[in-house]
Amino acid sequence: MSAYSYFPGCSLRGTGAAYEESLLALFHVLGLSLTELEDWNCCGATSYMSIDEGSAFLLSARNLALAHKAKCRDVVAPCSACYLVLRKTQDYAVRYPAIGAHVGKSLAAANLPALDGVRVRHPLEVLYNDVGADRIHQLVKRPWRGGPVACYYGCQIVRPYHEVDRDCNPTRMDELLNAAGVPTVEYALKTKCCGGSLTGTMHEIGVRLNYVLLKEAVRKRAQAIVTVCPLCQYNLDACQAEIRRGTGERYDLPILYFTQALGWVLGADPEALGFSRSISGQKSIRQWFSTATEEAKAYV
Amino acid sequence: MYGLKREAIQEGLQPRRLPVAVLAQEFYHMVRRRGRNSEFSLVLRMALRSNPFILLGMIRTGWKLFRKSAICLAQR
Repeated sequence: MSAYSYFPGCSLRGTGAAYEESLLALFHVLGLSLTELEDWNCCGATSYMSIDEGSAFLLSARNLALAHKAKCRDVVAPCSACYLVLRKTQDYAVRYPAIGAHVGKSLAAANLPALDGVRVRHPLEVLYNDVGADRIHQLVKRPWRGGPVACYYGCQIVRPYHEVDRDCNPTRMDELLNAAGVPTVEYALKTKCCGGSLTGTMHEIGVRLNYVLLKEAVRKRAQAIVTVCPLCQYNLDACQAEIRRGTGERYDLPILYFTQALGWVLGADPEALGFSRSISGQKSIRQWFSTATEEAKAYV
Repeated sequence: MYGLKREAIQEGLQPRRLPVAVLAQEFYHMVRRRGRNSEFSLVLRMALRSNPFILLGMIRTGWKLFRKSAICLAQR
């Protein structure tokens, strides 16, 4: 069993709870061990960076040092913002000697080791590289009963670092889902921004960005959007009712995490995948992810 | 970009109640105090300091999230 250190981040303990539940269920089904970092702290996200850059790097560095101390080589960060901030800290500590020295000195003062040897990883990349599409295909337990989905990667896991996937036309989520029997559509807006926290601060702009994403997915005949980021999921999920009221257009798409879609086809317990936490698309979700048909067949 | 934003906030160049700057400041203070961020508390503080009336528009979504246990009043 491969062992990974797990950095949940604050969102997965809030609006992204379904992401955490489905991630843990999926990794369990795949025989991958996730051990939560003890006493982790907020990564700082982009907001902290906007006030105090030096301390922002220290927040992330502490988490990486905790992983190093726990002798874990790979830190899995499912939230795109957490992934980016942790990865950026690691990169900047090497690239800019002043930042590296500041981080090293502060970690030493807290009796924590340096950042060397820890790899920041996103679960999409772990599944793609460590498990692989072929293995996923072999492990399929349930047929996909839903319609085609649009894979939405967002901005942060593919820019500026390319370990998770290419920045212009990422395809790894599509490849994994296709291998698992989930049909995907060509979605040109797969890396266009959802607005991030703008839906909370400059609401109209954020809603507008999500409207464009939803409209294009529907135009491509996608029946759901699958994403890798808790903030993207929340924005696309929560904005639909307001978009319906504002435009008169009918949007009721399930916005799923890729871990929910894969977890379903790989046979994870549907109750553990957090489908009931979605706001939009509940009718489709109930149709697609109900085990009633399976149970009826088993009974016959 | 962060450098510009940081400088603008430090110099007080932005309108006092600009939600983007208020969010960054509240986030910063919350993480400094508690080590982690609570979405519910953050949004509430941001709204109260920038424009409390935007909370009215958030009630419906907030209630749905609360019913689905996607937000909690206490930090987890």
